[in-house]
Amino acid sequence: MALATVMETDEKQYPDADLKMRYVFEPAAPGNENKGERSASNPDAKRNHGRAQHQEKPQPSEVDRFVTLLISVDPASPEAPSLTTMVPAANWHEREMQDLFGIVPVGHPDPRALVVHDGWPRGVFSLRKTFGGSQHVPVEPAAEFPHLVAEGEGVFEIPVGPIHAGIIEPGHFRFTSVGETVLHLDARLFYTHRALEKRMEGLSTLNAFYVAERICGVYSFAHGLGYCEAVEQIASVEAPPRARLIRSIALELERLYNHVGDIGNMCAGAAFHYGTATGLLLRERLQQMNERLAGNRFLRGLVIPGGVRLDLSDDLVRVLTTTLENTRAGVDSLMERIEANSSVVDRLDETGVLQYQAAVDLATAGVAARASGVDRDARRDHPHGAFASSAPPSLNVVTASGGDAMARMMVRTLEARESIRLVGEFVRRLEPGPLVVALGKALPGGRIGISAIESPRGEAVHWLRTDADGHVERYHLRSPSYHNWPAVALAAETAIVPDFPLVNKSFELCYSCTDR
Amino acid sequence: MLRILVNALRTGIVTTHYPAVPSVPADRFRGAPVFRLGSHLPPPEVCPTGAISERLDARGRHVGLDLARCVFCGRCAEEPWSGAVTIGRDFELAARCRDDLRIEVVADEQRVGVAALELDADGGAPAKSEIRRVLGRSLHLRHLDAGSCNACDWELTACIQLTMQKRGVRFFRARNAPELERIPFNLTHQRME
Repeated sequence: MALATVMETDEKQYPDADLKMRYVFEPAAPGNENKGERSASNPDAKRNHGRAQHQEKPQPSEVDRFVTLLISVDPASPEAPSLTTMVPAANWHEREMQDLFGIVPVGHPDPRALVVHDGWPRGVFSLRKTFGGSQHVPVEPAAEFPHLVAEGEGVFEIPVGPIHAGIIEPGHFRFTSVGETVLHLDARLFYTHRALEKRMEGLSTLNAFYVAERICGVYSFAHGLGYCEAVEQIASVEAPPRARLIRSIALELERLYNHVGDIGNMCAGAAFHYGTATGLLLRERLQQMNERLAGNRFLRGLVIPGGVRLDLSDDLVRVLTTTLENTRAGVDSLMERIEANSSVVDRLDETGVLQYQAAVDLATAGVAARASGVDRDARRDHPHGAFASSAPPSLNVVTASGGDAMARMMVRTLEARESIRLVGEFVRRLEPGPLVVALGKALPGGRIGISAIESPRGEAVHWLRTDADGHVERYHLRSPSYHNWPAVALAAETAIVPDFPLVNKSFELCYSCTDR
Repeated sequence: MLRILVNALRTGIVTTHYPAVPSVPADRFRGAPVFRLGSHLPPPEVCPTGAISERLDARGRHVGLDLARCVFCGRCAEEPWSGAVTIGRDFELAARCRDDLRIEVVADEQRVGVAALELDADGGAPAKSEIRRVLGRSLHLRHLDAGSCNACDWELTACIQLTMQKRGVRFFRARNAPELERIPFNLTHQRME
């Protein structure tokens, strides 16, 4: 079992009138059971430094299940035993629960504040129902945050951020190092915590959709889709087949432009400017195509609860096919240059290693997990979009065993090619038909929808419950970055300080959907 | 190395000549909503972000649109309002003043923010020359993300690399260097520290 998400609910309106903690688990993918038996029999293996291999589909019986551990907590003395020492992936979840719900995880090894920063008043818990979302919260004077640092002779502390040199999102990194070797990295995020989950409470499910779609720019489509699938579960409807195919096409396009851009960004981390510029150019062309398809460069405005808003005309299919052909050629050419450039390969090889066991323990998601040999992919494990049909197209889940920056780049490359192949497959399956199914006037109250979407950086888990009026009562998003940030800190400790930007870019995590 | 040179030469220049040559967005692009005069305009609850407002007075029903709140989702132009609102393709929506982003339609006439009218008539010229006097011909910017969704971070990166640098706009990292700080929309409690 792997931890999918942890979230809490304030059940003030319900008969129990307590706080409830929900640890949501999912079965570990069957591919991870007999790990040792995999061999590099793949024909691509040599070309890709013997790292990447394809994995076949699992048994369908294990597909798309969640198991929730429900713990009732008394609001008068809110505390619960911490599970972090047994389930390391619960670490941040429990710290967040302490900050936003005031539930103390007893026995937590690192109970420092996570989401709320210095100056947030004590005893104010924003996700409790008694807290009004629009109420003004004063900034209180506070002591300096206790960073976790190493001490000793010759040990230096290097603070970086939260405002960075480039145009990136805010986060503070506190390195302790001896010479160039990183001893410890303490990352402090949540500078962009906007309490979006609180904001969505009480909105109609349609109005809240526009917030969900905008939690994160580069995952706009994946998060919009995850929210929509949760709403559709609550309404007990299924999007029509054509809509599901268009959703899957858009999901792959989002993966593609992110992967291609990330390969370029990794080149920036390795000081290979030709690669940076090429990646940016390929990404730009894909985003311009997004605009032709969805009217928005981030694919916003395409998915809607019940289906999709816009159709895929034959003209657009032609544009799509040509652009993807060019992208494939561009990626192949770029990868040839990267592999032929020994200085780049040398920077990537064995840099920022994330061990298999650490990846499993932290329940890492997506590229980061698969590059460390963890075989998980929500498209297969929790079928959504066109994969949720009776005869879904085959999906090659790409894994690698190196766990280093090079493995992550290779997984991205192979997944980009796989996405191009899948889009072609989805387009071939398009049949005329309706785009939207009606959701009915009001959604049933008190029902829960859980969906898991394979976004470009991995599985994102959406949890939604409606109130008596069918409005949003509680929504929670666990983004892939949320589980992957602790893995970055681990991987950084295998690297030297100047390689940190490269390690960070090889994970390419997102702040806004971690912070929410 | 030779291959890289050959590839780079083959790629050539990829930036456009915008704004000298206008940029035409895709057909489906959603820019500012355009209200059709004399039609029945949608009520405020159609808009998920509260960008549409209405009030009644002696002259009739005023319907306002606040472009600063609009997220360009296109819902106000969907059925049954598609006759009254169309989604324009105008993307050059920058304004010097918050009020310039408010548009109001009453009965058969359309008004944009009062400040905008004054600026366009003649107040705009001195402001422009003042900007030129203080900042000169090149602008040094600093980006401070105070709670964005990261779409603007990505777009800025694309802007810089693809076009802005050649127009004299540079991004700065140091706290004392910039002439203009660009802070995208909201400010989280965390960033107030």
